[in-house]
Amino acid sequence: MNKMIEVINVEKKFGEITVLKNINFNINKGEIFGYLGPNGAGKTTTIRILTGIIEPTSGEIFIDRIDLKHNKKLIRSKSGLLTENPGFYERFNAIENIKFFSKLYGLNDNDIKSKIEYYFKLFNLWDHRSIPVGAFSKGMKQKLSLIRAIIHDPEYIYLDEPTASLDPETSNIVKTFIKDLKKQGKTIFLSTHNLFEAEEVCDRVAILNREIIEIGRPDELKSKIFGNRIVVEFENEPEKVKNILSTMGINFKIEGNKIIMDYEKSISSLIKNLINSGIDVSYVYRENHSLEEIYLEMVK
Amino acid sequence: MNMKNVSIIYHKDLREIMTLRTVKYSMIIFPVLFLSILLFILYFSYLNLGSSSNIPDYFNNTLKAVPYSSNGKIFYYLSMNYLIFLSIVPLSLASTISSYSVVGEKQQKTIEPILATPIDDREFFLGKLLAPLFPTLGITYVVIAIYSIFSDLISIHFNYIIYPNISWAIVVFLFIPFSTILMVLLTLLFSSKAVDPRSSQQFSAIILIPILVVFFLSMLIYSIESILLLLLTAIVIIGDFLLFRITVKIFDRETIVTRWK
Repeated sequence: MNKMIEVINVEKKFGEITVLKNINFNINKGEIFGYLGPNGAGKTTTIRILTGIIEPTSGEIFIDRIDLKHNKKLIRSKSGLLTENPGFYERFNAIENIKFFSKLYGLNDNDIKSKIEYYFKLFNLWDHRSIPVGAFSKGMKQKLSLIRAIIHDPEYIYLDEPTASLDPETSNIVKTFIKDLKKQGKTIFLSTHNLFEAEEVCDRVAILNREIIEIGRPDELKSKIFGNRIVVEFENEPEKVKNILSTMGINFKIEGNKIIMDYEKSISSLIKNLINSGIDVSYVYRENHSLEEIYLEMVK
Repeated sequence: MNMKNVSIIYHKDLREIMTLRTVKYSMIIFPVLFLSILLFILYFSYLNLGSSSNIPDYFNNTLKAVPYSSNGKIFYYLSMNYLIFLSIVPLSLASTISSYSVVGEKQQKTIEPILATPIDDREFFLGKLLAPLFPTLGITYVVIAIYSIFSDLISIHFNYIIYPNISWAIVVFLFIPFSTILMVLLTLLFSSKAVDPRSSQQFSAIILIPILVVFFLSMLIYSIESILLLLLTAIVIIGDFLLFRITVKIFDRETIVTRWK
């Protein structure tokens, strides 16, 4: 895998306050990388550093093997940013707003015209193109913000809370679009509070609380924190069940009519033994934990 | 520095300013009103010029070098002084326009998306500086042109034409542009701390009043002395330079993103 973003020992202080410490991670080309953390964890500061808006106090950042410190303009021209607050000129209409930002990204008039038409139609904003943005709903502004982030066809895209306070329909449109961007080979850095969203769209996630607590695929993190546990639900004779499990030397705990045990290859012989002993087994499944549970466990 | 980026910020700001009714109207009403009052006072002064025997010694001494009749000398002096007063027009307009330029960005939270584009701090700052400067100077020069023509039409009665002259050129092409830059810088500086345009204007007005008092008093006394005018303009230019350095620091992107609230 090609490393697209490399963050090495980054630290950021504002005055005496350290807001980021010992930040290290890599993001591969074409990957969606989730960045999770509570308020004040340093998510937005990390994005501002990666987009070259502010400088880290120490550490190094390479974007596509280019040193960010000495090539901020070049890197910003290839980056797209969706800010936490949409931030538009309220008295300008949607087209005027996007035109202004597109020009700053160096697009020519013809490109701007064709891309505006394409993206405005894609996000159902074409009919609202001449309305001042001040009259837009939060969802419409968020879609417009996404257009601004991608209109110059950036290679890496930073999304800061892209679905925050959106209705479920708009949120789905945004999530689908993020997945489409990945299909186009874009590298996406997604900062979010929404753990279901992270689990749904991210290839890997980092959990942050001023420093990185854990990085990995959501399923990797689940097994790391909770292990691979199997639940066997039975209908009768708990004492008999305990005896069978003890005889087989399996580590287990029983909660009501559930046996919870670490995954072992002997699971099929256990079920066979239970059934042969007259135990009614109703369900066997892998214990499932959401990213939210992992997150809560880690930031505890 | 990429002047294309400066131009994009400049044009956006200009267009945004023009969407604000209060600013648009104040750009028309204030100069028209101020000019009308000055023209009326100038004409009224001309009508009430006394005989040469009433001229105080001060005028005779100060206006020794002016080769006109006594009444002509007084009219020259008055017209030059009122011309200095006209610099209130650009100072006031610059303060009004530039206070909206930065506070507007803050209120609409548009600064971060701008700073994420390949624009650098100097280009952003220069665009912000020029947006209030050019329209202000444009309007001011129209006002000065009308004022100068009106003064010349009156001065024909004294068998001379006042404008253009060296003092006029110093005021119009040096003092007014540089003091307007000073005002824009002051307002930009205060805008970075203000949460709404009005408080930004009030802040800059508080600082401006003592500066204006000192300047106008000096200018009224020495308005016909080209060298003194040049000296005062030089002080304004030094003020511009110092304030520019301070304001550029305030326009550092980390300060903008993290401290501008």
